[in-house]
Amino acid sequence: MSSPDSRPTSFPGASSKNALEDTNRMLENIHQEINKGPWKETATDASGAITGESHDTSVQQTSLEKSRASLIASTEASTWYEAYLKLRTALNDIDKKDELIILFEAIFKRLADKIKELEGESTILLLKIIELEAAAKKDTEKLKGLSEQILNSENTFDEVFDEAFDKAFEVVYGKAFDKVENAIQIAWNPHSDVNLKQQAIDFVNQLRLDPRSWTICLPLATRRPAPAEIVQHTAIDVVNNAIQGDKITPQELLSIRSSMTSYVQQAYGTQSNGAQDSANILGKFAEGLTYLFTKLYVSEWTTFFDDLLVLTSVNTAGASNENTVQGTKFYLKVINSIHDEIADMLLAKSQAEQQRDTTLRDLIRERDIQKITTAWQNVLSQFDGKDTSIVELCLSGIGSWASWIDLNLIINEPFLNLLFAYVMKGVSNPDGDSSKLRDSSLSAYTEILSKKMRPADKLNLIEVLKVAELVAGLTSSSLLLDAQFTSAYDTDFAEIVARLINGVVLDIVVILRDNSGDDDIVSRADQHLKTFMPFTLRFFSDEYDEVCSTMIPCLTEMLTFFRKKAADNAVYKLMLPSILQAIMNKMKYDETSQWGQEDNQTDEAEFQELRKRLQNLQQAVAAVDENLYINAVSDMVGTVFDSFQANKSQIHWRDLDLALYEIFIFGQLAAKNGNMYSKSKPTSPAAERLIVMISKLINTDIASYPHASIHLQFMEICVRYTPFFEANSKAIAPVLAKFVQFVHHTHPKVKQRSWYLMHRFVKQLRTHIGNIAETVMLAVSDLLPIRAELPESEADEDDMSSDENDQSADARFTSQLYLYEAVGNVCSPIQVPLDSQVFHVRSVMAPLFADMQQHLPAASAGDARAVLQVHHLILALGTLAHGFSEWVPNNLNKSTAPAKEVAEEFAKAAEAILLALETLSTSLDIRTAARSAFSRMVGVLGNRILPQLPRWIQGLLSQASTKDEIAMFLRLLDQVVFAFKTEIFEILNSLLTPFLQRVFESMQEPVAGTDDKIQLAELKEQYLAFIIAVLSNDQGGVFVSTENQPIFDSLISTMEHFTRDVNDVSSAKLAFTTISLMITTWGGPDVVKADGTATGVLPQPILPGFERFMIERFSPLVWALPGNTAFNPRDAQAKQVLVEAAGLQVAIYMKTGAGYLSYLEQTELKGVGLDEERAREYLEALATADSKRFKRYFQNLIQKLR
Amino acid sequence: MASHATQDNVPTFKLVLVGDGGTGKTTFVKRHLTGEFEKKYIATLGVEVHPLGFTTNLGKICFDVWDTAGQEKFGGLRDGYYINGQCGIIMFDVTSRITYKNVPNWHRDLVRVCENVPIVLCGNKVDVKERKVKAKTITFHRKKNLQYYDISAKSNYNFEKPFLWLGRKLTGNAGLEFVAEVSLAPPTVQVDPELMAQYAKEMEDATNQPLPGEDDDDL
Repeated sequence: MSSPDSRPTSFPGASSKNALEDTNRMLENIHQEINKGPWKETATDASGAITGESHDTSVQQTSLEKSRASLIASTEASTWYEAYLKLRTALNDIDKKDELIILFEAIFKRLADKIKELEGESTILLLKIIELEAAAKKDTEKLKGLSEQILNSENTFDEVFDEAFDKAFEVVYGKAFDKVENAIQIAWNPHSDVNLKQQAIDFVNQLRLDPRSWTICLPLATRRPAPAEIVQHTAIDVVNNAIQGDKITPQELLSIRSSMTSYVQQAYGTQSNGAQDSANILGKFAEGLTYLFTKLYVSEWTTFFDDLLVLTSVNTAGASNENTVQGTKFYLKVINSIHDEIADMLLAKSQAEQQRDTTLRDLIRERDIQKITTAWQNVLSQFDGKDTSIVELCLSGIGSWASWIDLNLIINEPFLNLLFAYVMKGVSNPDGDSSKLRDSSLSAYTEILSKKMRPADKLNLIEVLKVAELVAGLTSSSLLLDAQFTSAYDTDFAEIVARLINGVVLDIVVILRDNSGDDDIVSRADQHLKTFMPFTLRFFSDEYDEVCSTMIPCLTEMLTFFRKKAADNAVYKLMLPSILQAIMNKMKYDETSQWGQEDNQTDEAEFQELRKRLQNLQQAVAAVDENLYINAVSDMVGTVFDSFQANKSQIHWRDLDLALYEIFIFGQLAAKNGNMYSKSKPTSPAAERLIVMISKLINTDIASYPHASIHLQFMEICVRYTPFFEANSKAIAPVLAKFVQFVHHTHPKVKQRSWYLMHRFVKQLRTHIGNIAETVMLAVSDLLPIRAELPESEADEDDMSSDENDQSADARFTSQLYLYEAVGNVCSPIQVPLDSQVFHVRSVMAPLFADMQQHLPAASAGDARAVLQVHHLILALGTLAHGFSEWVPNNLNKSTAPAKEVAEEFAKAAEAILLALETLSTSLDIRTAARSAFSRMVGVLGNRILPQLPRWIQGLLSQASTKDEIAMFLRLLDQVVFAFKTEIFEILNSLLTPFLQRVFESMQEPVAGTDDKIQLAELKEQYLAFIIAVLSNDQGGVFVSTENQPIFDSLISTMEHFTRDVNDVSSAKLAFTTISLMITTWGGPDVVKADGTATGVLPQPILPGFERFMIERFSPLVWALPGNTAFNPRDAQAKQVLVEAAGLQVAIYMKTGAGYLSYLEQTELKGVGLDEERAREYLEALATADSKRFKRYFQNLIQKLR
Repeated sequence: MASHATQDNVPTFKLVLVGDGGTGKTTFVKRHLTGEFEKKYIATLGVEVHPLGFTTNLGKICFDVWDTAGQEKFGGLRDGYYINGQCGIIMFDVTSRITYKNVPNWHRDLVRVCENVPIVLCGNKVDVKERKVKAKTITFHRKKNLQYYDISAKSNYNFEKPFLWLGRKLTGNAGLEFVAEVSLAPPTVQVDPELMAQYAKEMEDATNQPLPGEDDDDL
């Protein structure tokens, strides 16, 4: 742009006519300039201007340095024009606007001059001035004063210019800044008032949404002195947000670039300024530049990396120049951030984003990769020994970029020497900095090695990087060798080394697996495997479980590979014993660990997790060489048991624990699906060994060893391998003696678990244990008394963390129930004389009855603990009954109903439960307990339960019962109907009406919310299932008896209602099924044969008038759903409904024959609007009585009618 | 690792808790009742800070947990809250695939602001039967060297594990143990032990598998 003729050095009087004319003329000039449109040139100049050339121009330099405003550079003439227009518009609203316009335009003109001179700097700022003024009418006076002051000043132009900007900055931005800063501070403070914070967050969100916010936030972020860290951080974030989004123009992007790069140059490119910016501020600016890179690198900013290197003063030519620490850091952060943005495969990307990333990576490799790798080398050589954090940043960048650039560019002698030196220095002299560099270098090794490449290249790389030598050096270093087993051992370092080895070994195994045809590759890879095997085992065997875990993936892969190859590969086979030995050693509790200590539960749980993973590895070894595994385990167990026998006090519990654990998991191979014997012979050699081990376990009396873990393991083993005891019943008695002892164990965890285990043991062996009732009763009687405890506020269940050691009252009671079941189990075998059975049952129940009697009054008075006590007592009675007999009437299992004498005892229990239920039927807990007891009582009472049925129903279906409860009870009732179909008729008949009334009531209760909806659906299903159960167990007569005649109509109405309900098609389907079943039940003999011909019988339904009922009430139901527009006949569930509806019609036809067809023809089909043609087809299809065909026809028809 | 000490001289670490909205971050933090007394209740908005104290064999330590809003519209300053974070937990919801898919983004945002801090990845809601993110798909932590735990904030399952691991990393002492029971709110759901055992098994199987290869079109 050309400059005006005269360039005044100070402002003339501002309010003169001349000034106004001046202004107008100037504005004209500007317009002309704009119309010429030369701003494009200046736009493309930008990259030059910001990369440091502007420093050479003294004018620019002065103004850049003097004026903060000029930091915000804009070269857009379009912005100029926009600014001018905004000024005019804005000032329209303001009082005394003429005067102000004059003032402003005068300033504007001056600035315009100056800016032209500066080739268009800082117009954005002007724009903001004007915008702000437009918004802030109240400040008109102030601004006016300010303007006059500036214009009347005697200062030089530059001073006035700067002052004008300063003042304007203060007036305009000051307020905007204040607001933004304030909002951010409020949002930042966790203790801000909620309302205020909400407003602040709304404001910040608004900033993010508004594509223009960057014009405030960028000056704020680059302001000197810098705002508070969080303010600066968030301001950059808003700008970054804008760059990333698609809401701003390309020109704006270039403006942001100018400002950001200016800041970066000033702050980080020179020695001084930005040294105080913290890491996260650098990170945020790096993020911003990364986004600019992704937007502009393809075409507008091809010199991105050149400029970046200059800006940050990172030298590419050699190490001669002193790089600045802050600049280098920033440069590296941008480099690392670019990888994360365009090459991190873990981030989910859209197709378009992936395309963009690929393009950018290709361009970098084409244009700049050489510079970038050279810069890394220069940075490394320059900062080596000077700044650890820079070297770390650099190494991590190399590591990540390695995955997508040519490795030849980074792997060279000096670089490898440097890496190696870092590692070795960090090993020999591991102080803070050198150990950091050591770890970063090893991570770089790991990353470079993990790059995907062809097998031969990968093997070359492993060789070129001298990984074996490196690892050998590390492993034998004092840090990993001498320090092991001392407190100086650095587990994090060991883990890093382990990770490196794991990665390399994984690669080797994969190469071996995938290249079996290539002998050269295989032999090289085999060699590597051999070399790395000792290191693999060294770190897998590490005392620290984290280090051990790190090695599991490569061992898993290796063993899977061996499984396919080891049969004909002696070398692999030879590796197995040491692997197995290492696994078994790691499975042992280590020296420092305690067992079952309260404060050690996390470690314990973590060890159990590791054990499971090791167990899998062990199984993998077994899959390669089963004999090796079998021998190793049985040898180890044998040795341990022998030494136990030789000298009990010498053996350590950890060795015993491991032996027992190995026996326990041995079943995975030796007792598949629980089978150890087949025709009293061991099923396999493994099973044979297992049997030997179990025998020895019992015979050497390992359980006498004084350690809780041994006791627990012992019981677990006995329960897991009950087939052993079936075959060796002599072993039962001594084992049971141990159980009886351990149910009183001092360790709470063992004690509680033993109750469950004893129950499992006696239950599974009940037919083998003989008469041990007396022994068990004596042993457990002191454990049987029940004491319910309310959860005390919240404290009682506090230790319900992730452990299994739940010692809460609730958990204790749950375990106690197993004791009751176990008592039932041991009292019921036929070896126990009947009078003893009666005696034991009575002696267990008597205290429960007494207890119940004692608590009922308090419970009915509302004492919560008393209610809970009664609840517990009911459950105990039910569980005892369950343990005694799992007999199900009418079921074809071997068990038989208990003897009459015993049943009479349990009848008392049922009576007690009913009494409790009747007293406390409003309590959900009591009803739940009673319902559970009811189903169990059936097994011991047999048909004695029938006379009680009305009382059970009365109690369980109280007014308070939920739909869920009724549904669950209906399910139980189905079983009762099935079990007692020969004798239940009378009772069912008498109680059906009140019972169904209760069900109907419940179904009609209003439905609120989804839970209710689900419960209602369940209730409907159970209701229909109940009717089906009654009908199909030949009890259908109860529905049409004199007593229940009045409710029959309601029952039919519910069916009809269900078949029409488009919102619940599954009930509709079941309702059709139910109606069809009614027809089969009451329709009389078939009048049509399966081939469609008449049987010659006349319709004669069992119920008088049922023929018409079927035709006129039931038949039309099939059209209700298809006629509903909300019904989609193509929906899968809907199709099933149609099948059932068609089935109903077939059922009617079978019972009514030609009469039905003519009714359909004359009435029904016309009613639904079938034309003659279709009606004829319809009748033909039905008349064949081919149910399958008609169902298909009906489905198709309904779909066609839509 | 630098830590600031409170007036009682308890080493205190700033822990940044991030993850998608609805993954259960707040529920998770609120299980720890001891911290609850000191904090004024404020709705989840931007950030809530909860001091969680633990007693270890080396003395007391405290995590100032910055529970950040996962939902965009309540995000406030977003990564601004991460400033000076000394450790992190990234949470996702195993019943929602998208929340796992977003983990890499949370991780990137976190490490951009907090360089070289120990981070734990937590898959929450393992109590829910309809688990969508299966153990074998959870591999992110292995690629970025994070620690992973299945957790259930509702049932307290594995509650203390992330804190213990972070505590060990921050103190540089692998022998660190929590000595007193962590005081937890009573579980509102019970974890099905069989289900947990199954998950543990799946996780373990998955851990033993090599990582799936990354699709790299640059080869």
